[in-house]
Amino acid sequence: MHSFEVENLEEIPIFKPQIPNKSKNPNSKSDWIFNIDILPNRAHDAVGHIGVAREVAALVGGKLKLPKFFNIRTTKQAGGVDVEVKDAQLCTRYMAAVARDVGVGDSPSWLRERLEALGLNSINNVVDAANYAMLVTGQPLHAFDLDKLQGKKLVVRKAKKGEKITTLDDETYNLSAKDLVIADSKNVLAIAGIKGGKIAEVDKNTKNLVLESANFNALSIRNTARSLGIATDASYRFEHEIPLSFAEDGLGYLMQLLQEVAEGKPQKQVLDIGRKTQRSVVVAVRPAYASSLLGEKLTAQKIERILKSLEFGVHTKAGVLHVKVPVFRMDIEREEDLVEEIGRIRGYENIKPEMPVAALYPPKRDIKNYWTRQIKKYLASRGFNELYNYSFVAEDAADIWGFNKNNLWELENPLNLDFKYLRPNLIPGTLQAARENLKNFTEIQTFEVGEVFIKQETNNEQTRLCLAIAAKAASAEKFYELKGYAESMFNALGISDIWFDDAFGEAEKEHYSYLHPARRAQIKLADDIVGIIGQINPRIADNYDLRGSLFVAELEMDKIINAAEKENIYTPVSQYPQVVRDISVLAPTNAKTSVVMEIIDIAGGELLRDVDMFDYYEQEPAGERSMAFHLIFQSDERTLKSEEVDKLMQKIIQELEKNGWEIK
Amino acid sequence: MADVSGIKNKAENELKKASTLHEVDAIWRKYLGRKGVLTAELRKLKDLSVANKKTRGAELNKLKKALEQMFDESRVQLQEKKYEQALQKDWIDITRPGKRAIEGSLHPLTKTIYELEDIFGSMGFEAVAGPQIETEWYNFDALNIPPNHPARDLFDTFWLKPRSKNLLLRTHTSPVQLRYMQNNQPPIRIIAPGRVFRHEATDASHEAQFYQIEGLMVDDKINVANFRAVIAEALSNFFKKDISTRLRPSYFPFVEPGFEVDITCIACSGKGCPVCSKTGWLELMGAGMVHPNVLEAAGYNPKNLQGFAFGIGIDRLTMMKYKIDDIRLFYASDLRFLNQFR
Repeated sequence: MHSFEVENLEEIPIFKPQIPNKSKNPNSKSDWIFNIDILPNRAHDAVGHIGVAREVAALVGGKLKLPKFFNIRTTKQAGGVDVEVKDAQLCTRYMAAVARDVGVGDSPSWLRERLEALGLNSINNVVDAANYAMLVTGQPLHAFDLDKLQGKKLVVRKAKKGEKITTLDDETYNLSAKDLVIADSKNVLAIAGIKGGKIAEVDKNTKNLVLESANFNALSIRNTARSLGIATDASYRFEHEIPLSFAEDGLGYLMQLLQEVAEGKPQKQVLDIGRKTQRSVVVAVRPAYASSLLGEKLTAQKIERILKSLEFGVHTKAGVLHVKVPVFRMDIEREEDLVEEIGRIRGYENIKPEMPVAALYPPKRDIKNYWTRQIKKYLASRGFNELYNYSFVAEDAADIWGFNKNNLWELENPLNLDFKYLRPNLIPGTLQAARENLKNFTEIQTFEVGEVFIKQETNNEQTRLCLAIAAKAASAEKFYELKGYAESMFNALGISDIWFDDAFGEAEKEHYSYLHPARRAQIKLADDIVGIIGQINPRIADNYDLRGSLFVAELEMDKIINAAEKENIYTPVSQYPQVVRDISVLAPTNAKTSVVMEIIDIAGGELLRDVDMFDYYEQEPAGERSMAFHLIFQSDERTLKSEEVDKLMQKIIQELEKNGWEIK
Repeated sequence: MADVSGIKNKAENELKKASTLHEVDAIWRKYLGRKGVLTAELRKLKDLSVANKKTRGAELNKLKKALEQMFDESRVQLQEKKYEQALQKDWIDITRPGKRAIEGSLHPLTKTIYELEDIFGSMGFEAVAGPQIETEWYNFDALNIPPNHPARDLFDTFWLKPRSKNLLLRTHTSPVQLRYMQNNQPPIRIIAPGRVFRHEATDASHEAQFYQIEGLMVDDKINVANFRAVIAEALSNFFKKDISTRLRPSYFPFVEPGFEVDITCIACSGKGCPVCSKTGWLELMGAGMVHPNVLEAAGYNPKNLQGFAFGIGIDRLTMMKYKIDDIRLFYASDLRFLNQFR
């Protein structure tokens, strides 16, 4: 609850106790592996056993006991090997030690077992010691065969164009001028900080070693590892930036270990080039601020105790704690970072929940949110199921639906070809859903409110609503059902001047080619297109093996919401009775209902309050159809006389007959 | 002159045979109608002497009353009989299924989002929205996640072409909060629900697109204790049971301190069960105190401003609430699944 998350605990059979630390209970049958998740902020200092042990010491109130390090004397002179660092920006510190007369062989069983338990393969005692030292100290280390070095000199430099390396695992990489390498006078020996090469590898014949303990630029390591496609324990640590001071600890631990597992004589004089340590930082923390941010009253003494347990130096002046941050805590930069240290070590469970005090302003109502909710609830109550489809559209879908690829947002790194573009409308997803659901239902009604994306200067992300009815039985009646729902919905939203226009310009015909050319219309508010409605073109439906027909209406939510009217306008009900007359018009199929109704409307005048179509009958062979209407007449001022209405009816019939239609 | 009791008996007999109201009406007309027997007798009264008129008149009146009563009773009886017959004929099998209206449904994620908006709304949090296509600056840099920083590895990102434009699909709804802060002065109390995207292979618990709700409260003295109280209250409301929180230290670049927040296991109320792997706690969300760099990016002076921020995965929350085991169900559009949520 204070430091890191232990992902799991693994029990493993006993190891032989490691020199010099003996297991407290020599008879214990097992040991434990802690799999700990170290997050990026602590990947500087805690990706190593010592770093974790330091945390545990702070938590249990114990004292960290460091393992034995070899006694190093750092020099600027060579001790059998010379090193030149050509790029100090990319390699801030480079330490090289020499060990002679080393006996390379199998690692002792305790070392082998530990490495394998921790997920690494055992190679030989030298390589294993280097890997183990990395796991313990957090410092990546590398060993070269000294005698395989051409010219007894190591150069830390950028690779030359065309240089190659074959690594220890027999992979060959082409290097670029951006990659940092370790080379001798002839060959590239290692991809610095990432992987060693075969040329100078330590094998059973190796007698003398060069041990490398260095600090490489995190970004450079990251870029090289990415571009070459390699990820190693070493590259991971360098990418997260490790303290400069680790170089010495790592090397000291390794040299000590080598003495124990590989004979040989490590030389005390160690070459050390570059900066030895980060500048030590002092950060001030005010007890009042820490208390205020956490919500718990903390005294300066309590805070000091906590920080000291983490090896922070504390000097109080005028009530403010000036904290000397250990060089390995590269994550501590400011006061808030210290507050986190205080809070987490103290334990967040000690902070009692307390409601904040705030002004009682009701939150602002978002108009779009309000109307979207109304629309969703309305549609759900009318039998529509809400869908959430994917925001993506596949490569082949773009072709099938006839989307102009210039207007599609393409992903740089799609998961796969199904996710190549962002959807420009909600219809492909709706069709996919219809196809699958028609396997289990004879008819479905769905809606989706979602964002669609069009590559254009403005308004490239739009919220749209797609209503759909899909049915196994192909019937044009479904179009009218969908249209009915749309019209009812507009009515519920207080939008009264919606009309349907099937006059498509050439560009529009092309754009909406995915709709059946004889069964589609634009939905308009005055001259503004707010949506489209139609049957999915059978060509496309067949392409997706849709077993039935699909009718969709897609609307631009912003336009609908702008037009929506919350308040109803009250009109007083007329106290005078209505007069209802029926009329039947027989007209050719291509005479539009809207035209017929318009003629009736105009001829009927102000007293004609409503024209309600109650019957519609196609007379197949004749190519005609009859439409029957209730005509409702009413006045607000008087009871209408029969003769008045008769006159109006005559006028209406006259106007209709002018078109050659039969009236009944 | 007709005999009164004779008329009465005759009428009685005829009435007995009547089986419908219609027949009763006919008999009534026969005796009491305009051309009826009694009416005719009453007309004969004018030819009688004063003394006889009186006697006969009284006699006829008595008869009239008796007849009226008889007819009323007969009508009532027949009406009753009519009702009884109808009631029997009208029997219906009430166990036959009713004619159901077609029922639609809101998506379960919509239900969760609306519920959270309402709960937080009732606590004064305004719901805000923002674009799904975001700039690198709003999604990362402004949130204290610099380029080439290992922290970026925490967010697998979908980038848009051309890469040089630095446009991406937002990996969280934090950019929405930043945009809001740029346009509003503290105190701030907002939630930002929305669709987010991660470049991740899909499986039962991971999707390339999912929903998050982020919350932000900024004022001069907002602290961790306030966060604990607010979130426990909101979640208790959501799960309709008492929820406690447990904070564990964690790292997100845009908060400091940062925590993972666990809640009391809703299946066992913290006692320990398979759902919570016997720990009594469920991992739910990340949170923390807003990093001063983020407040600065928002255009505020971070001095004297403190705030908490949190982010909850809505899919995860919904899966917990309804015991759904596969996140991909939310986007598969299978009505057999969606139908279950009205």
